[in-house]
Amino acid sequence: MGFNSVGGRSAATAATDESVGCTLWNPHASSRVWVTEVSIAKTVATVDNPALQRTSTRGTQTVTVTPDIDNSYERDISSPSGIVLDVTYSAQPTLQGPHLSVWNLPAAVASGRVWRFDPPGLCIPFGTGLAVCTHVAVVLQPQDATYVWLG
Amino acid sequence: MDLCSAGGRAPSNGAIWNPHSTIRLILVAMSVAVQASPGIAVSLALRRSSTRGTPTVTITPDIDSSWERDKAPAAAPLIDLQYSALPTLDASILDRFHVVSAAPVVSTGFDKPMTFPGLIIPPGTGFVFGDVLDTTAVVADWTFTWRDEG
Repeated sequence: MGFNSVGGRSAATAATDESVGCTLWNPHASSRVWVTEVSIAKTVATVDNPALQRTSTRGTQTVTVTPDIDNSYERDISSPSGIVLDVTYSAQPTLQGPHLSVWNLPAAVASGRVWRFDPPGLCIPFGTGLAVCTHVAVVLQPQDATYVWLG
Repeated sequence: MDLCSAGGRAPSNGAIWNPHSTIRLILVAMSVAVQASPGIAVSLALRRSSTRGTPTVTITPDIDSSWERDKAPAAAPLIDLQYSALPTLDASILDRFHVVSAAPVVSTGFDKPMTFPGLIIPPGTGFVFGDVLDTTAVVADWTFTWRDEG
């Protein structure tokens, strides 16, 4: 069980509370993963309000980044869970539970946020995900998102 | 003793309250990002509270707030974000931060990890972050991370 990381650029969301910009989705039937870091950096100069929240359905993704062996820190095996990073949607995932963390960003390109979770990290059970969403009814702007996980 | 996190936007103070009769909480980290300018310089302070006050906006952490996502927090702590009657604050300031300058910048804020093992929140008490003078409302995004002893 080693560390992996993956990144991608998400699209702007709707101006609807809890719209999702991107999600690290664990599609496996039995394997869990543990997220140790999530970082975002905005590509446009408009304020937004990112939050972390769990998801219970994947939604319908139109752009997905699929990690492989090169995303492994050890470069020995690809992540066994087959985890993916969804960055654009035609149908939104289903969010569940309260926000895990909330923040807001100024109108500056490259403004961002790094969330760190001390190892073993934040568990993502199989068949669920961890999303970056907006926590108010304001567009979550396009952003470069990176997830680091164990598993 | 799972780690848990929860947060939300508060128009003034952000607080974590432990309603349990026996279980302690351990606050291990918090973060704040100011969302709107209050127009004047403000310092924020962390103080203990002995009464909850009357919250009008509350987040109730559940199993999804647990880092392991295996059970809901045993102490059933609450994140209070708005009040019609403020909590009773202890006079002692545990931490003080000058986060809003006279020319405030949106998203001014910080992450505050507590020195190990963290700050104990005894049963029936809480912690409140807010304007040190309790005179200025600071709209901010607050996140609390705690360890549940249950």
